[in-house]
Amino acid sequence: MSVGESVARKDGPDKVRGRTRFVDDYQPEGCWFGATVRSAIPHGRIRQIRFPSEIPWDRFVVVGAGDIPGRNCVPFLTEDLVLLADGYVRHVNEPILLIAGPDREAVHEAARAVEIEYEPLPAILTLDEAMAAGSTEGCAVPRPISIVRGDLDEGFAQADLVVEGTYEVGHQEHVYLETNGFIAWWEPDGQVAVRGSLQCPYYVQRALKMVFDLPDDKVRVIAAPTGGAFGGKEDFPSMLACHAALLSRAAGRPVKVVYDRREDFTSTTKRHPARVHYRTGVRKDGTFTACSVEFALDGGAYITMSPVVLSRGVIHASGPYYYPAIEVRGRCYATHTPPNGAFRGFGVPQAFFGIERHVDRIAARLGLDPLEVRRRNLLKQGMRTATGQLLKEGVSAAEVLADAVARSGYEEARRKPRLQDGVLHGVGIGLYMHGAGFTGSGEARLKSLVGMRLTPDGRVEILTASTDMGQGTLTVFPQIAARAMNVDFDRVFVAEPDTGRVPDSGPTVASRTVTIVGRVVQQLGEDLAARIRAFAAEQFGGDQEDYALSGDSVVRNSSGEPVASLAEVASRMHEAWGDVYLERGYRLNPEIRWDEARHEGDAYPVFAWGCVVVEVTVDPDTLEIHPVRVTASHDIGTVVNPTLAAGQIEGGIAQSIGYGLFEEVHWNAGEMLNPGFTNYIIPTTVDLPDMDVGFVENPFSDGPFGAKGVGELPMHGAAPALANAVAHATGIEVDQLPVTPERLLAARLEQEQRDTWEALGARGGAETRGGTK
Amino acid sequence: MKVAFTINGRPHDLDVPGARRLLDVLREDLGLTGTKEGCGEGECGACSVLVDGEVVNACLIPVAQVQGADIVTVEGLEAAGGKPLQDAFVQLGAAQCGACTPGMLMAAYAYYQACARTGEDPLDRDRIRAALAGNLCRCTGYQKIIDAVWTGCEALRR
Repeated sequence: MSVGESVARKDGPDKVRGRTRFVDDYQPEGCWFGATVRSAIPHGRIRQIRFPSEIPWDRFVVVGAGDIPGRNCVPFLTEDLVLLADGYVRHVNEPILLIAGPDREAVHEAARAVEIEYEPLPAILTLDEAMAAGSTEGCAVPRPISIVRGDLDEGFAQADLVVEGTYEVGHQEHVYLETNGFIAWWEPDGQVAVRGSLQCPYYVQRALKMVFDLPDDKVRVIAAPTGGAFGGKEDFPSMLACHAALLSRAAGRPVKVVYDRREDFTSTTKRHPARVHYRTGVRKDGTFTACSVEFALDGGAYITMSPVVLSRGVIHASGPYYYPAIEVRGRCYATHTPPNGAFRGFGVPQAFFGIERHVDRIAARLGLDPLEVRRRNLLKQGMRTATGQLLKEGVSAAEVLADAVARSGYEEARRKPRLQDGVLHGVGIGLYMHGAGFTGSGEARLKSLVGMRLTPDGRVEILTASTDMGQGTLTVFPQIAARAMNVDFDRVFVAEPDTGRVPDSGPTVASRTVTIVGRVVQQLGEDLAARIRAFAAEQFGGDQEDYALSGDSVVRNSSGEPVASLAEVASRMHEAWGDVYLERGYRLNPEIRWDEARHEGDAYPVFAWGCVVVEVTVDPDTLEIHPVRVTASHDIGTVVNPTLAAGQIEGGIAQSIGYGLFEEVHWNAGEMLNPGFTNYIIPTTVDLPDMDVGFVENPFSDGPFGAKGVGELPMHGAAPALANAVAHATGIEVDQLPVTPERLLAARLEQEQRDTWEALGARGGAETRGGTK
Repeated sequence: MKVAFTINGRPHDLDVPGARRLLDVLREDLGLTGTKEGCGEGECGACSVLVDGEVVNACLIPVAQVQGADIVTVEGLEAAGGKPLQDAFVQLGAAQCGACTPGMLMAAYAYYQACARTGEDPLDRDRIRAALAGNLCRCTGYQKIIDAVWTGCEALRR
């Protein structure tokens, strides 16, 4: 049946005809447009707000912190984020006032005309400054997290060599092609409704409830088809939805707020900058004896999602390797910059840039091939991770490594001369894993609910809050249900995510949609099929075990003959039983044990694994870098839809290559300097080579038909693999992303200088060595 | 000003400010919301449409410039002959979130037509890459888009 087949996506035909309606494609009758007045300074008090008389203010509505009926707060893990600044600002572009009116241009003009006088206060703007200062005025931080396992002193004492390295990454912008947007309106009965581009309908509902002090049934959230998200529409939409709803309440009509690209760049969340320090003890043969990691994140001005980004980063910071002794100390700092938030990988790409660069550094110091060092230390089934989790199943680090290495021709490429035809060649590996679902017992707390309905005409409707932002929920859930019920894929469809109709399936995040929510979809499909078989037995006689579903029919096993069409049975069931609707929640494997305070135990039910081999060329004169070959292997358990899964992996690798080569946010006094596609560069068609993407299927016993998660995994490896390939090609180690020609040149000059001093010291002033070509 | 042009084979006469962006005329005045705005500064190609057979960014074109022009948007692509490309995008997974898809398809169709005019072989991955270099996609890594353009062009040529 349908699981494992590359069925075409259900929303494809509308998408290629321009019929899919994203939020900005709706323009309700009488709808006004909204705009936001934002802080011009990173930190300070608001002294005065003036509304210049040349603007006809009576044609607009203006909303400030004082107009919020409930709490001035956007709730996440903590409740520190304010919806509208109330006399005090903590970062540039913090929202202060909202304005709406009938004409879009006029609204933005009015927003620009508002004059705000500030009393500036000293600002902390970078992770370095925050680490030096220790605290950041006006900003809270999450509590530090530590993992300690084994005897570190003993481990380091066993080492032949201790290798240290510090690895740094900056912000990354999601660059979903559709910017953030919402339309809000109020129903006559006092219900607030919003339609928006978002990942988590029930997060948005929770925020609206708090801001307007309303019960569940007075808040309706509808997820429009979402034009890319990558985590960028996990947290931020809660704020934007509340802004639109405040304006709609004040205007007494629907209000649409859709950001232009500049506002989306400057004012929404980004990936946390990080600095990761590794100190690893190794034997001469490359075996790790101990490792000590310091993992520091820049959370920005508010806590928002940072505690869990930190946690996930800390848990993954030891990489897919085993250490007899390991400690990871994680700490998140605050800066007076826009809050950083969820972004595909959620703290893990930062960690993997560190660990995967560090393994290559260790290999270089030992004179071993990086492949050999990886092979010596791989996590295998039966071993324990840094949190002490016993790996019971689905461990594929060795398999994905072997597969990617074999298909990429890594070993041959490694042996070739670096300089060929005047161009430097290099090849590097990134090896990684990702735990799907919420960390620890998080999924037990969430208890994600899914509904399933048999329609009177014999179709199956899946009701879930999991959204489709391009990754394929609308297609893979029906595949899973169709297989569970043994009915035609075309009979199964997913309802629009509308909190007025769908239960809370948890957020569409954490690579959890297929493996967690999809598991409930599978179980519901089995439940519903059992109901139908029981009804058939009632109608046609005999035992329910003698009936089965097949395609569009109900068949009798003993005769092998269809007894009725599914449509006919469904129609009769409705007559007899009324609405045929089932609901079910996720049940986390009760064997999972997690100590949140100590970060000890089973962090995830299972890990997914990946390896990417990147080959680059580097121009020896300009230091321009081109990825010329990408080979990847992933174990995501059973692959539900190979085309969709490969598409996500290719997209994730592309995003990781962008992180590795181009993407950098430039700042001045807390303000983003490059909020556009002319100077924030993401990969285009001509920047990426063809990718060879393969799978190693190692099924997960508690996933739907064996599926693990896929969404975030491919974000982890290409950036470090690129940096490793560049180091192989040039002999220059770059430990900061992105690896630009400028950074490469700076590292080369530094390295040459270091080599010169070493040569002078060693040989008492002998001639200096040449370049690294 | 009065502007007359053809969109997807239908003639239109409008009285609009000449400086109004073609993108806004399409989306807001004519309800053709298939064409998307991704950046508003001609960098991402999400608003690509065909004007007299040339692919342009509708966010950069004042409507005064399309006086008398023949315009094709994604809504008219099938009628204009682009269905094989659209089918290939669906079958091969070239559309994920769908925000870049309309623009990508218009650029792909313009590429095929340009190849047909010049006699160049459209079935060339490097040439396809060059033709789509002005259209950003963040979901796919472009691989399946290039596959689909290749397959769509092959079907169109038959």
